[in-house]
Amino acid sequence: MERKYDVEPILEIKNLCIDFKTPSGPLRACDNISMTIYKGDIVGIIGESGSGKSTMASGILQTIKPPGKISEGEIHYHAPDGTTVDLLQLGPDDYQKYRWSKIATVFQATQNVLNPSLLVKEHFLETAWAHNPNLKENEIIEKAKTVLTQVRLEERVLNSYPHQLSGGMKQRTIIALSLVLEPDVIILDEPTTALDVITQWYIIDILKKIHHERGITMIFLTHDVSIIGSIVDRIGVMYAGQLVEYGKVEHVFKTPKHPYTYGLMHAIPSLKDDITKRRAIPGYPPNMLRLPNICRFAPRCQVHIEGNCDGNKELTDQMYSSPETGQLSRCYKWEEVAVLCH
Amino acid sequence: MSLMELKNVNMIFPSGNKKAGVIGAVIDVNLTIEEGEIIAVIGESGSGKTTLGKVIVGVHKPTSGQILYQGKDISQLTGHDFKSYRLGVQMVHQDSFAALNPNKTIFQSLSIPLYEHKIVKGSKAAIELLIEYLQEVGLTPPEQFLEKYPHQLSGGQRQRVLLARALSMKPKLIVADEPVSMVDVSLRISLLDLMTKMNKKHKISFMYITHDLGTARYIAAHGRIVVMYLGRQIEIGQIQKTIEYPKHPYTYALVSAVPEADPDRRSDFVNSLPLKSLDMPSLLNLPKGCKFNPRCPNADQLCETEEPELIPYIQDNGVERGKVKCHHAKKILRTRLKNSSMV
Repeated sequence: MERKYDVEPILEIKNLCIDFKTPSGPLRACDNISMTIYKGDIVGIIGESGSGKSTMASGILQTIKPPGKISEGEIHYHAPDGTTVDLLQLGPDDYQKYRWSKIATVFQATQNVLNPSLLVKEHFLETAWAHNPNLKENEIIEKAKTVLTQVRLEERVLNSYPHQLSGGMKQRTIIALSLVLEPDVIILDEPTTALDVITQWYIIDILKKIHHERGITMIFLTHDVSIIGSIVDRIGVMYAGQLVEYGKVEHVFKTPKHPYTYGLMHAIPSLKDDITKRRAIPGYPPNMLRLPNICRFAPRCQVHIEGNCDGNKELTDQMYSSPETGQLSRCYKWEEVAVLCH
Repeated sequence: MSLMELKNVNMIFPSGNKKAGVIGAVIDVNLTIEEGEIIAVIGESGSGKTTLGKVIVGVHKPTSGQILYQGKDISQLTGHDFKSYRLGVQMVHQDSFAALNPNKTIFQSLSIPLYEHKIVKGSKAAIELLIEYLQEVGLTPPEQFLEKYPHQLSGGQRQRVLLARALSMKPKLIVADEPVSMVDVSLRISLLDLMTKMNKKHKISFMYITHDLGTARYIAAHGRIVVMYLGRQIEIGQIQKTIEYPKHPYTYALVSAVPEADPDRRSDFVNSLPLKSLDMPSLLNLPKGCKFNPRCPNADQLCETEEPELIPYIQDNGVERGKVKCHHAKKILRTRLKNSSMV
């Protein structure tokens, strides 16, 4: 299916900053993140634990709880009817109209997303009524049956308790739950981590078909680069709270413009590559409370270590755009990444 | 003499409900581990791979069967021999946070076994030795790490501490149960490299338990792979060859399900898996015959009635290529190769 690329943005995130108060001072979990998500795209956000990807998702959904708070930024949502709204300007009651009915989320099944004492049916009813109390029970159940079929589960699951389902079935139930109010955007937070390869394959297959049938915009948060390659259109790479690269998957994968992306793409063993070409990224991610006074990736960066970049912090405060591919990179040596990284 | 030999090992657990019967977590496993070998054990959750690891380190006493360590049955070992087995076979766990006492510093946690087994006397000697091991696993400067608590370290660093702890017992075999699955991707390779280095330098054998074929292929590049399904070994072979030419239909499905990072190879990511059903049968209600038959696209009547043996796979040229537990392995592989060469 040929989709229209780059035409209509659905979510525009601008300068999003999210801070957490900690005993040792403020911690900026998301630092000045700007990205545009286009309608119908599947966007993958990769980043390691602590890179801020889940925090960013909570920011979009406005589910940040104290001591965290959104300190700056705008998130423009372009509704299908042509109106645009800044989600961050909405009060809790107004936002309620968007959460789940327009923008829904799918969490990792291993987290206790489903209430162990409720039937799957009750999860659907509760969720639907929380957002629209006027819905009738049989309407919701009918809808639930439709979405369960889409994730290839039988209707009898409705009368099961979560513990009666396997890990893969739980994950599919959670995906069905996110679809019940027909959102335009779903954010999937590590939907396949902790599942074994066969179940993982199945979940990806289901998501692809749902995307194909509904044209829903999907944002995939994961640390698993191989998943990204098999499904997404665009990749955003996050490191230490910053977006360091953003672009179309084929460009980011083939010609990364940030040394961290380059390192990641060469650090993951797969089944077909040449294993002698795999390289680890040296060192560890920085402590977010004691960030270096240089580029955040510099201490682990090949280009910096080999003396080809001084890691000037000020120059990494903005993103650079590659005119040929439209990739955005936070590395000011982006033009030389291909030469300097090896 | 092999370092470790498992003969017809069974590990059967009672289920919570007596009526429901028993759970066979490991069934009839025969395996040898040679000195200096890296062997990867692959399987879905519930395939018995962790139980197998625990049987080998002696956490579980097998229901039946024999385990030989350097030629001696471990259930008969006493005194000095038992101690040398206990120290010689170490385990590294998946959850590095759970494996370290949160109330103890790294030094406290790592020095206890040293004193217990009289490897060193006095804290000065312990510090010296631990500094050496921490350096070896790449935690520098080691002095600083000794005084830290587990929560002050990252997942990758804690996993290195666990490796140092295992290493300090001068083991012959380390059973590593999903050691990198909870570690950030950028740090995984360096941990795998560290294990390979330890394997080469100290001739330590590794049993690498995982569900991730990619990392298994990386660490056991020249080693063997054991594929497990519902407690049974279904295929053993050289890892590269096995991934390239899986002989058991289940291994083939596992290999096909691995996603491909390269977007150009997206089409290689199959549109349908060679499986009839995606759900694993319950361990309490196993199918008759071959345990894989309800999911196997190649299953016939024989498979439904008779469970195949794990037998050597002899190629047409007479060369043995591992072992496989499938009635039709040869036929299936031949048909697959024929079909793929036609495309």
